[in-house]
Amino acid sequence: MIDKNLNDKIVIKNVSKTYGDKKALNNLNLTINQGMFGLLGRNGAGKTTLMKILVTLHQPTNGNVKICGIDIKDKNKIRDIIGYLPQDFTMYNNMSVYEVMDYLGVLVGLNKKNRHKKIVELLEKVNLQNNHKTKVKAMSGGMRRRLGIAQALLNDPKVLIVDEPTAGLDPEERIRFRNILSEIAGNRIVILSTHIVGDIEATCENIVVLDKGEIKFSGTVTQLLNLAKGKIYTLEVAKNELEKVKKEHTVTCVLMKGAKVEVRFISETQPYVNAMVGQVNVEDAYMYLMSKKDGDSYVF
Amino acid sequence: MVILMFFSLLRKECEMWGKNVLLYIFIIMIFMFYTTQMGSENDISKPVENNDGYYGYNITTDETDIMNETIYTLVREYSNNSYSSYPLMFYKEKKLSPKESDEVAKILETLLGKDETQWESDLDEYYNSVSEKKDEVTGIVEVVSQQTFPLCVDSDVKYSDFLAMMSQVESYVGNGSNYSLASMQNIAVPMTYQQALENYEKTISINDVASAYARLFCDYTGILLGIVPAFFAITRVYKDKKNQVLQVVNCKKVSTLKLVCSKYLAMVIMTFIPVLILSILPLIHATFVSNINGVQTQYYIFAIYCFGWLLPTILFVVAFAYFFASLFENLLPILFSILLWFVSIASSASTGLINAGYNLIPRFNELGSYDKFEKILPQLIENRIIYSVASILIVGIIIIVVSKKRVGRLQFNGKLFKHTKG
Repeated sequence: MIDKNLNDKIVIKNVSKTYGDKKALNNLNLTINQGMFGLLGRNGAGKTTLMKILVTLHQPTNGNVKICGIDIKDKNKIRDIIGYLPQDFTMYNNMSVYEVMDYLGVLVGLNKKNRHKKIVELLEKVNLQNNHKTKVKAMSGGMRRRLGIAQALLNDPKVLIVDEPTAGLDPEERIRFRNILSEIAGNRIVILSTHIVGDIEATCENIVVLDKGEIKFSGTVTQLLNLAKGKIYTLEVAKNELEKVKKEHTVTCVLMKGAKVEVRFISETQPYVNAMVGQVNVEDAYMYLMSKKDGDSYVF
Repeated sequence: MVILMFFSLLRKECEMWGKNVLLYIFIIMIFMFYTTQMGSENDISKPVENNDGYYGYNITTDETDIMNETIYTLVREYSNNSYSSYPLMFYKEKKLSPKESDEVAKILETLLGKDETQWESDLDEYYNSVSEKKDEVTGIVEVVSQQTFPLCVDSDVKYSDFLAMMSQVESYVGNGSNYSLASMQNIAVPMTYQQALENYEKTISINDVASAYARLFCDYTGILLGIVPAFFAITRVYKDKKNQVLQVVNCKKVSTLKLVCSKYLAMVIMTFIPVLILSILPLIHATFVSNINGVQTQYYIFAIYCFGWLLPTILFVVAFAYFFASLFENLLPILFSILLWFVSIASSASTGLINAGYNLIPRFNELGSYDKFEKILPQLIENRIIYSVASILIVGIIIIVVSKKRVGRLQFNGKLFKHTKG
C-alpha cells in the first residue's frame, strides 16, 4: 500500500539495529523531506547502518521505515526507486566506463535502446562523456565517484543515497562532486552521509547528526550554527601557552602567526579576559555539539 | 520482456567471461590435456596377424588372468622386498618386516602350489633363458624368452581364497597397493588376435567408431571438468566481494533468481563451449578412422556424448563451488572443490576405469569395448540424471542464500555463520 501523503518523504519510526551485542542504531525517529539532506557523525555513529537499511542491504531489528509511502519490507519496489553510491565505489577493474553502466543498466531493467540513451545522458551529466572506453582500473578516485553517481541514477531514482562521496578526493574534485550532487537533487530526496563537515555546509539545508546510534541533532544548518553561537572564542597566545588552552578546552582551529598562535576553541563562558567571541562556522558548531555529554540531543 | 532482460544479463555475464584470463587458461589446459592424454591412444583398425603377437591390451575380467598377473607382480615385489602403493594417489614404497615377508612367502607357496626353493629355481631357469634384443631403428631393448613365465596360480586355488590372501598382503603393504580389489580390477592383459578381431568387428558392425572416440574423449575431459569449472565460480564470487561490487548490485531492482541463474548459466556455457569446440578434434579423427574402415561417420555423436556425459559434470561442479562461494565469499571453497574432485578420482580408481556408479567423474578408459559400455550404460544414465537434478536443487539453495545475503543476513565475517539478526 502506498500512502500518498508520504509520497516524497522518508519516514523512519523507532528503528533499531543490533549486531550481536552491539547496538548500531537505537530507536531512531526521523522524517526526511525532498532536497539535500546531510547525515553527519563520527565513524561508527551508525550512518552507514542507517543507509544500508534504507537501500535494503540490511534489515532493521525493530521499527519500520517507509520510503515514499512504500514499506521497506517491499524490497523490489524500494529497489526500483532508490539509487545508492556506496563508500569506496568501484566495479570490475577490466570493465570500461560504458560497460559498467551497461551491465548495471541491465540490472535495473533498462532495455537496450533506453540503456544507451540513459548512459550517454548520465555520463555527460557527470562529465565522463569522453571516458566511455576508460577502464575502471585507469580511473582516478574522483572519476570513480562520478561514475558511481551516474550508475546510481540509472533508474531515475526518487531517493539517492550517497555514502562518504568526497572522502579522499582532492579539493577540486570535491567541489566538482558537490556541484553535481546539487544539480541532480531536483525533486529527489538526496541523503549525503559524511564526516566531512564542509560537504554538508556547502550542499545541505537539513541535517542530522548521529552519535552512538542515536540522534544528537536534527534541524537546519542555521539551527546548528545558532546552537554554538557565543560559545566559540578566539585567542592569541604565545606558542608555549597553546598546550594549556588545549588541555582546558576543545580547540577547533589553530593558526600560526609568527611567534604567536591564534586559537579557536569552545567554551560555555568567556574563559580568558582577552578571548573574543568568534564567528561560528559549521565545523565549530559540529565540534560544539559533539563536546556535549552523551544523551543530550537537539531536535528542532 | 522479463525473459529478454534475463538473456541480456546472461549475455553480459558471458561477455565478461570472454574477457577473463581464467577462461583462456582453461582452454589451454583442456587442449594440452587432450593432446597429451588422448593423442597417444591407438586407432581402431582391423587387426592383422603378425609374428610378435601384439594386438593391444584389454582390461581383463578373467579370474585366472587376474590371479596370474597379480602373482607375477607379487613375486617381483617379494623378491626385491620393495612394494609399491598409492595411498591417497601418491607413490609410496614399502619394505615389509621379516615376519610380514614370511607371511607373504607362505601365501605365494599356497598360490603357486610350490615351496619357495622350487619356484625360485623355476624363476632362475626362466631368467637364464631371457635374452635382450635391441631394435636397430628405435633403439628399444626388448626382453625375449623362449619359455613362458613359469609361475602361475595353482588350479586348486579358488578365486575367493585368492582375494582373501591378497587382502592380507594389502594389510601389510597398505592402501592403494597392487593387491587392492580396485587395482586387480584394472589389470590389462594383451589381447589375442581373436579377441582383437572380435572387438573390431563388433565396433564396425554397430558403427561404434565415433562413439568409441567420444567415450574416450569424455573419459579424459571429465577428469579436468571435475575441478577446473569450480575455479570459475569461486573466483567470480570472490572477485565480486573483493571489488565491493555486491553492495552496488544487491540494491538494484534485478531479482535474485535472475542474478544467480545468469551468473551460473554463464559459467556453465563458457566452460562447455570450449569443450564442444575441442570435441571437433577427436571428431575429425573419428571421421578419418571411419572412412578408412568404410563406415559412415555419425557427426552428431560427440555432441550427444558431451551434452549427456560432460555437461552434468560441469553443471554439478559449478553449482557445488558456487554454493560454497556464495556462502563464505572467500577462497575456502577451493578446498571443498578439490576434496570433491579428489574423492571422485580416488573413487574411480577404486572402482575401476570402466565404471559409472554414483561417481561425479564416470570412467571409460578404453577405445571400443562396446559390450562393456553397454553394461554400464543404464547406470551412467542414472548417474548423469542424478547429478543434473542435484545441480538444479543446489542452484535453488544458492538463490535462497544470495537472497538472504542481499538483505545482510548469513554474513560470514570471520566467525562461522555469524548471523546478523534482522
